[in-house]
Amino acid sequence: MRKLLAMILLAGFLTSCGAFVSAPVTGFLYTDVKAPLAVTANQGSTKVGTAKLQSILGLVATGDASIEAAAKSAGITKIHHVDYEANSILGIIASYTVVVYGE
Amino acid sequence: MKSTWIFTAFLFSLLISPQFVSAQKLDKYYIQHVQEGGDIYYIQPNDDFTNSDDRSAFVFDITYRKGAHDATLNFTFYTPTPVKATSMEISSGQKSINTGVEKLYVDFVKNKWENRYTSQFSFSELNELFGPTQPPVLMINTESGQINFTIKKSKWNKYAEALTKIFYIISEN
Repeated sequence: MRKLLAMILLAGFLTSCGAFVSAPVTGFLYTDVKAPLAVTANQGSTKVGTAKLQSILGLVATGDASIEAAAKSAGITKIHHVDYEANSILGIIASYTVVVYGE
Repeated sequence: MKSTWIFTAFLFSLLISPQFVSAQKLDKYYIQHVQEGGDIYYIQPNDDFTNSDDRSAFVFDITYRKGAHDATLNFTFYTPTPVKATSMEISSGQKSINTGVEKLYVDFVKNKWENRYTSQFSFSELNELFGPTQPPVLMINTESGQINFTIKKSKWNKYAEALTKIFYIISEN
């Protein structure tokens, strides 16, 4: 019974303090989703750039997932649309990636 | 006591199952964007290659527009002093390809120079060089010499397996 209680407490800890990432839908155990972020009137795309940030245990978060950084990484000057990917495993590791399409 | 063990086993199976599913998923390696004039395939950044001298990172990604002859390979490498890259060479076994590079940006991050460049490679040649199980060597030629980047065989085997499937998907769609 003590073990059960310990597991419930651990789950509670992970829920409140773990590394989770914002997404349209989230999974407590596992999140792996892609969704749209923005779209422009520009036509077509030939280049793709990404920028990423990460969090560990919800305690340390680092990175630059700005649209600016993603566009810069591929030399994009005209943005067509922007998507993002959100990943999280057990609230231990979470990442957020911005994907910019353009030319 | 028995119910506790059953509950523990159930919880454990829930915890580990998504990771097994994720390990088999190919979509963590690439993105396909459907559009008029040719779908775009973006192979996600890989940071498994390291500088053979100082072990600093080398990160690259590949973008290919269906129907085009060339694929774009963007890459980042880090140096203690500023450098100007002139070309990039990929070598695997007896075969190697060389192409000119163009600077995207230079930045100074965590006491190192971050050099971001873009290059164009023939898609079919890239497919040929990145397909084999023998790890390729990536070489950046700069005005002050050559920098080599290598990858561990175990890491390459895993990555090459995914790349082979992605290249097949691209060729068949």
